[in-house]
Amino acid sequence: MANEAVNPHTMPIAPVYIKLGVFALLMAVWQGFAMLLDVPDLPSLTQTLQALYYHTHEGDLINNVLITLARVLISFILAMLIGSIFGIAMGSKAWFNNISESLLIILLNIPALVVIILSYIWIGLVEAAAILAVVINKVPTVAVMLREGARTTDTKLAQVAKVYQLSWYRFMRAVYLPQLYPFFLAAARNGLSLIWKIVLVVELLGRSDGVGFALYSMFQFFDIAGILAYTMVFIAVVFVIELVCFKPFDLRIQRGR
Amino acid sequence: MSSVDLTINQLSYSEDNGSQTIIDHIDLAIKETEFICIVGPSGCGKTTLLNTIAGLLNSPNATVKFSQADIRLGYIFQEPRLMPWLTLQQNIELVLPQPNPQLVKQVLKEVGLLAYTQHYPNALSGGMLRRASIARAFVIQPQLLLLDEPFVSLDSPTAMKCRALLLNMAKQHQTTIVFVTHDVNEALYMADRIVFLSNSPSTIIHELVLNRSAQQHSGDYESPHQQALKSALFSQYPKILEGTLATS
Repeated sequence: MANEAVNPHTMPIAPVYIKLGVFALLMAVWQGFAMLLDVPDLPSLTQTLQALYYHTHEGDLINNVLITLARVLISFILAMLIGSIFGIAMGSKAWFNNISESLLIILLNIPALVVIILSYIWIGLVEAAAILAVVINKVPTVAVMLREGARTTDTKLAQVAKVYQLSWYRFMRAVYLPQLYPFFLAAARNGLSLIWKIVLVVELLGRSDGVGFALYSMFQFFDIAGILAYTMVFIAVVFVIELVCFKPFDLRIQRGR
Repeated sequence: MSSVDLTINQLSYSEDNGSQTIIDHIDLAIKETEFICIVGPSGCGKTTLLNTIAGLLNSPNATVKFSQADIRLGYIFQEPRLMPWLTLQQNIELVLPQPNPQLVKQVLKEVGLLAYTQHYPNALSGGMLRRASIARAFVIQPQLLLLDEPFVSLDSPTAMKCRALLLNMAKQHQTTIVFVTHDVNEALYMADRIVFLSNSPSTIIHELVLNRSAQQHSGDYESPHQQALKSALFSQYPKILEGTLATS
């Protein structure tokens, strides 16, 4: 029987050099085009790096990024928490789905800008309004994903839990929630990208700090190199989050599947 | 460890708001440490019967009584139903109220899977998964074990190994067993008593008591002993068997 099993620790080696090669090629194309065209509207890679250095040392880049990150983090946690609870409840209880479905469709289709403006008008130009606007925009998409996840959970595994009299906590931790992890991850990845974008709009419209506000200021002065420098940092942060948070979680939930 | 008696009275089960009767008034008494096989054609309600005993389905007017108040119940389903995201060891530990790595290792050793404790179910073969589900059932030292055609999709030699393993563990752990199958050969090979069910709405049409202590488990359905049992059964109860086998 020893030959029947497959080594579970065999993982494909990620071709890091290919990813780095593609990235380097992209940078080279950018630099080449910028030098070829030589127009102020398209700063080169080197000019952008200079702007990055300037805004980091002379400007408020780090401060603005940290403020935006804090907003993103708070909004993300709240949206995931509320959206997951609603989505799981809708997916597992038909009556709750019936009474909530219309509200979900409405929330899904209200333009983000409307929610942001109304939040600022009704609550005021305060931090709570900014966070609330982002959360309201994101909760429905999380709920939709988790609802689909809850609908696909395997009742046969729940029967195992019932027969063997697993406690509620153990059932949730070892049987029910692991089935939803791929949906959590999809909602989180999708959510983070959306929340980043909405937070910038929120900051642009009603805050006096953060990346959104900084981008708006640079837009006033046509500081395109500065905008690209902020975008670079923005992308770098997203990559760090992906590598530090999402990728390990992704690898973890793929085990055994 | 004590085994349990099981008494079922007036068990009926219907679907579609009572319009479709699956099981029609079954009465059954099972003695402790007895190995009972329930044989019937596909779709006659054998799984429904087991699910009702396990408490997964409700039969409002039936009484399912155990000789003790809180019993340890094991259930081996048609599919292994292991959690894909847990290792073999974690799957076995899951059903224990308290962590007990020694007991888990002991049971995995009994089923011959000690070398695979850190493997995930998708890295195990069908036979290994069945043995894993046997280990999961026996780790709680069940007083009553329900089995729903657990070896149906296995190749013949692997199924025979699993049957031998189950018989051995049932004997060691002194467990009362209710084993559902549509295979008369399998029932003859394993049971103390065989209960034959009719087609749906199913009811008990015959019971056959075998002397398991006299059975010789040679690991072969074609053994002289098995053949003699089968011939005797066919000669005595041709209509029952023809009916059961023809619709299987």
